[in-house]
Amino acid sequence: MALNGKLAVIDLSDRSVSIKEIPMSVRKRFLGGRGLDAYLLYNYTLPGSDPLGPSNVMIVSCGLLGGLLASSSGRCHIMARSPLTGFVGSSNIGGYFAPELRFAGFDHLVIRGRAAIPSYLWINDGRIEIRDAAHLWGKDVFETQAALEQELTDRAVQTLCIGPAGEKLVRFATVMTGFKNAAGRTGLGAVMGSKNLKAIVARGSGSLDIAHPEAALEYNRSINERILATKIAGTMQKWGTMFIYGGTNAIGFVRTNNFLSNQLEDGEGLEAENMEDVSVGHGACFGCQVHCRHRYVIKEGAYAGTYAEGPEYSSQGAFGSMVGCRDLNTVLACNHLVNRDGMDTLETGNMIAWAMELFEKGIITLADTDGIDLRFGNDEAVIEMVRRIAGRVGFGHILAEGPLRAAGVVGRGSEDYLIQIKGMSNLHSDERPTPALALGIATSSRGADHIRSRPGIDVYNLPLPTLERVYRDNPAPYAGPLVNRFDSYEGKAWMVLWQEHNYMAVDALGVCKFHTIFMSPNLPSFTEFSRMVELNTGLCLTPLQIWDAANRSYTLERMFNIREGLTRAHDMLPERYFTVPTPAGLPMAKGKSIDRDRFEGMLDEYYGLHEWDASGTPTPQLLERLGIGWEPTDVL
Amino acid sequence: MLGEEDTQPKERSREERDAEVRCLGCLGHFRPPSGADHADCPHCGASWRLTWLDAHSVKIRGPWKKS
Amino acid sequence: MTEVLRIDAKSCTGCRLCEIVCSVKKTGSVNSARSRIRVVRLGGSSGYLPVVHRRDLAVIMAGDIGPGRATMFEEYRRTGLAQCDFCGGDPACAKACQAHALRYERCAQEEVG
Repeated sequence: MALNGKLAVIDLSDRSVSIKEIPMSVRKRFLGGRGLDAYLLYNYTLPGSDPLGPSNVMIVSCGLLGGLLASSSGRCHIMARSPLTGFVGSSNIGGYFAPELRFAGFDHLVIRGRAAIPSYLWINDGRIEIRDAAHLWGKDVFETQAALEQELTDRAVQTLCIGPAGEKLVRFATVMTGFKNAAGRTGLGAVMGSKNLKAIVARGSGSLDIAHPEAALEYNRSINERILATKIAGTMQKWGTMFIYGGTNAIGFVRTNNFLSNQLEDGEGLEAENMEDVSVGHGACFGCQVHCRHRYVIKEGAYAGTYAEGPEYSSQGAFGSMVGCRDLNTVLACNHLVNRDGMDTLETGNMIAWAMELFEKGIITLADTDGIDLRFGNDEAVIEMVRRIAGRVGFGHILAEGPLRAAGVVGRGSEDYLIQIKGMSNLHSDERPTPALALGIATSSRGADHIRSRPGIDVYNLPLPTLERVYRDNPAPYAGPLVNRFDSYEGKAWMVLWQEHNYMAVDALGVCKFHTIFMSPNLPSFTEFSRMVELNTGLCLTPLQIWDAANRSYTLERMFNIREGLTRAHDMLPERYFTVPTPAGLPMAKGKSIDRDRFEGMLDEYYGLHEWDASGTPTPQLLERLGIGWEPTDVL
Repeated sequence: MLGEEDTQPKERSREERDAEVRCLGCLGHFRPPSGADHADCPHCGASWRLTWLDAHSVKIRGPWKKS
Repeated sequence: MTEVLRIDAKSCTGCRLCEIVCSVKKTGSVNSARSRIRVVRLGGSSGYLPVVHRRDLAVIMAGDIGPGRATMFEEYRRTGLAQCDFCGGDPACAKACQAHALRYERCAQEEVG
């Protein structure tokens, strides 16, 4: 069957590899991917482990449906204690690596220790070798993958690797596969760099037996047809996530000049349609029919002629609106640079935007920035700062430390200008007009983030019957209110919690969030997941059992964070969300701020729905019901 | 983005939904003339630039700045 | 008239769904190595090249793959472990490909040549 992939525990310090079975009982309780990773992280990591020390554990996995007949089943999940936040480090990545890992016989890797010399892992049909990577150290992401393909004389190998930023322990370095697929958030590339681990390469010829092949083929076809029938899929096929910008900027949901505005005036140059001039086609992740990835060649500037992939909506913000730049070429060049060197586009853009606001306000000067004019809209300065952060050069060395540490170095009240939660910076979205989205970023287990719990469909002000269909008793019972106004505080705690479970299920199954209820209410969720699992694996899990598994894993992430010092105070928005109203946008978005008391009320409600106490700690009753406890176990 | 996606799946056919946009200002649905690069919302009068995914499917690109 | 599998490499997005559905249809399991079709990643802006393992080349219409790639197509075509039979006239790969890189269609005998 498909579910005989193993768990490998690899100790880079003593170069040992231990291979273990994953019991079916564990799969039923935690599924796979991020779900089982949460279990492994909690149990394999000692409290207080230095995120960049050998005792931190890095976990790499495919989902329960990884490589199988489920829409876009190529997602790979990576976890560790984050060097950026000190809390859960967790990031999900597309491409083709996860299925190849599974073809090679492994579903989860637990990597600990630190290699004495730069190394890479070669995982090939059930065997794992720790190999010398001295010749790869210093190479960028693209060079590394090409060199490994050549060295292993196989163009079909799939590689996860770090670039120079990961080697230099930039605290928001990424783990990359392909040209643009990035485990982008929480600094997992730095964890890999700290372990002297340059790359993990997988190649497998194993078969993943499908429990009900004909029915699975037919069901997958029907799911794909359903996905492609949505307008969102048609739009993504043509413009990728970049399409989001036109609408959100028109309304006033786009953080601009760090946090000085919520709309980029005259920002048409960043619209997705401009990609037509540079696009050479689209790319897709494993098994995906939406193919949302642009493939392009830069036409102008220092990187003219360079082939690259992406960018995403996040880069339009990171190197566009947040830094006040209106030239798509800047976005394209910076997107290329962060992918080449292996850095999180969002954190990089946020650090530069923050520095720019400090510079404009006179809190820092040319003396701090190595003479670089960090006024908003200085395209050249933005590109130069990306290079300097990746290389930890001059002021870039400070920014490479991430928001809280950088503000600690700069001082002078600079922390007040960070747009971060739990030590991780936010997307360039401005959630002041949207309380549900604000609660989502405040409570996300990995810090300010839009794909942990964001009820994206809330901003559509959908008809109530649609909200009822999505959020009521689907599959967990809910008797509270549902309100179809995005400016409301009522009923939003449940929407956030529901999305949290849904996204955890998606990450645990190893499929793509764009193929679930995220930006459209008409895409698959628990009911369809249950059917996919049964037809592919033969495992019968009801929608409610999948919900419970998601809850179990999310609760473990919460417990991990609490073990590392998280309190209710960490589930809090940046102060300016409460005190500074949005200055721009359409009437629905202008003059808005978050009401502190109502936000606190929403947070209480969210904790209550989670069965967490008022401090945000899971109650004993919840833990008993989920069958988990505070004491680490070593079942696997 | 906002409001254009499948907001009334039961009431509208795919064809209707693809041919319509939802005004970002008042959230009302309307059908722009085929191939138009901009259109006014008949409900609130707001003007929008349009983008066509294909000959039959349209979405709002951004605000139309009246000169 | 005859049935052909028409390959439009420029439209291929490299998702490999054709490989997946082919191997499941033919073997009941996902295994690219046992698929009768494979997607070759050409690298960079060159994109992808779907290659079908079938001896009877006359019914594989891949005329637009670009001049330099015919050799590569031939090379990979010959490395397949098993031969494509168009699933008896309803090829799973073409049915799954929504990027329209693979089309199973009727065409005139003269075009097949």
